[in-house]
Amino acid sequence: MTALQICGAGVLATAVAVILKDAKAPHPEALTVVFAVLVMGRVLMNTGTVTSFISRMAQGTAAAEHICTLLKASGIAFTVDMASEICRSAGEGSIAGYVELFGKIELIVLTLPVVSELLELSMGLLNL
Amino acid sequence: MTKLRLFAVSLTLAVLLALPVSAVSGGRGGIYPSEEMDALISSLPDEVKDELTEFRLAENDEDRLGAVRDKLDIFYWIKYVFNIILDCLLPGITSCAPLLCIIVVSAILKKYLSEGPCAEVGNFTVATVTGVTVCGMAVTYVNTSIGFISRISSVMMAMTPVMNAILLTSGELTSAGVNSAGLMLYVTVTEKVTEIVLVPLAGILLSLCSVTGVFRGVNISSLVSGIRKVVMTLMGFSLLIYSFVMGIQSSLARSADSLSMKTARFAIGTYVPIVGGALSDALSTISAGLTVIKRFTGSVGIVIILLTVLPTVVSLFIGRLSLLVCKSVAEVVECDGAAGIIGDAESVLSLFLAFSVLTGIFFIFATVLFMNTGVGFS
Repeated sequence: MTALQICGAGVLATAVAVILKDAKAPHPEALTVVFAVLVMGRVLMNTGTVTSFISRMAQGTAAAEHICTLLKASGIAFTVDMASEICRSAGEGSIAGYVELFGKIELIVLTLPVVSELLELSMGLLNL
Repeated sequence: MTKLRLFAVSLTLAVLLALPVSAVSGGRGGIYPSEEMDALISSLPDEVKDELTEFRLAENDEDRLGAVRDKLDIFYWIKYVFNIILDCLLPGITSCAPLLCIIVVSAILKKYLSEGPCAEVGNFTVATVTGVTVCGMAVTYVNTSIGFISRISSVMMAMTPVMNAILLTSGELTSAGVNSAGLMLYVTVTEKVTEIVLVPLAGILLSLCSVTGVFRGVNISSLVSGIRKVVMTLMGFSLLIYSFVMGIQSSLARSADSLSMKTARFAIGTYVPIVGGALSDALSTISAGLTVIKRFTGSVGIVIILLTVLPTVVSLFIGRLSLLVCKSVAEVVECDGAAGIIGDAESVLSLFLAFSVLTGIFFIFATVLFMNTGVGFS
């Protein structure tokens, strides 16, 4: 799906959402959620190409592990951002908050080994 | 009677002419303290030792004369020094590659990591990863610098007994006492400052720069600058005492006009060219010292000094340069957190670079003194 197709689908979905709201349909926000999930899936597919490119470039370098951590962290941040936006679009602000909280904790868990490495390095430096 | 005298003179002449004339069997071979000399040579860096093997010729060792002739050619040494610089250049560039890679990836992913709901934690992740990489890089250079300082100190320590033995053999008891005391003073101060102050301080500063960078603490650049001034003042003061006590300025003054004043000004005011601004004064002081060395040993002596000092200094300089480049890249791609951490690590590395350069300069002075000891003997 190209950017043009996504843009076309976006305009179409907006038009349908406006018609549904005018017609006082029971759940007009469902269309927004479906469209957001569709776009998110497509974006994740494209991101896969980018991440595999960066991973391939970093392979064999001393920073490969850390770059992998950065990629994972950005993936988590992106997914959480999208998911919380979808929740907010559906009017579920509290669920969005929980999703964000989970994302933050997940990021901290991901960073913990690096923090541990940093502290070990610092301890080693203090014992130079 | 006249015939008897003539016979005695003829007999003496015959005996003298029959004696084999050999530089190895007589002369200095038996007078120079060979054990101390061996200890001095063994304390030299491996690359210098390898280059000196051909110069230690044995009796009838004509095979190695060709190699010695090659090594006496200045172009051989120019090429050698050039290769050393190239050898130092490549690891310096490759060591900064992972850091550059992380900065670029952080910049690409900044949209997701530094904005949105997870921005705070995302920034923390980026800072931690950058901190670990920078610290790993800086530790390598700090270890190189510490190794260099301890090696130079041990070379200078090994010079002392050789110098003492030569001076004592020539009957210069006072010079032997003063020279060894001066050299020991500087070497002890250097070793103690390295062991007690510099090495623990480097650990603390690097830890601080990584941890404060990650946990958004204070900027330690000004702290490092203050510490650098204190350490350099201490080292410069001991260098100043050494310069005056040992009378090295008098031997250098023969090579450059009013050099003792320049040495003093250099030692008091700036201490190290990279730290201070009086680069021209430092260069003229070093060049005067090198002129003295050249007078005694020829160009090979200067090249051996370069072989000992240059690899570490160039390596540290390139390391510092790499960090500066990484910092500039981080600033260009607006990764301010990473730029701060790299800037702090660079200031710590500059302290070690300054200290290594100062040790190198002192090594040149100590070598000049060592050469003058030889003059006193001959």
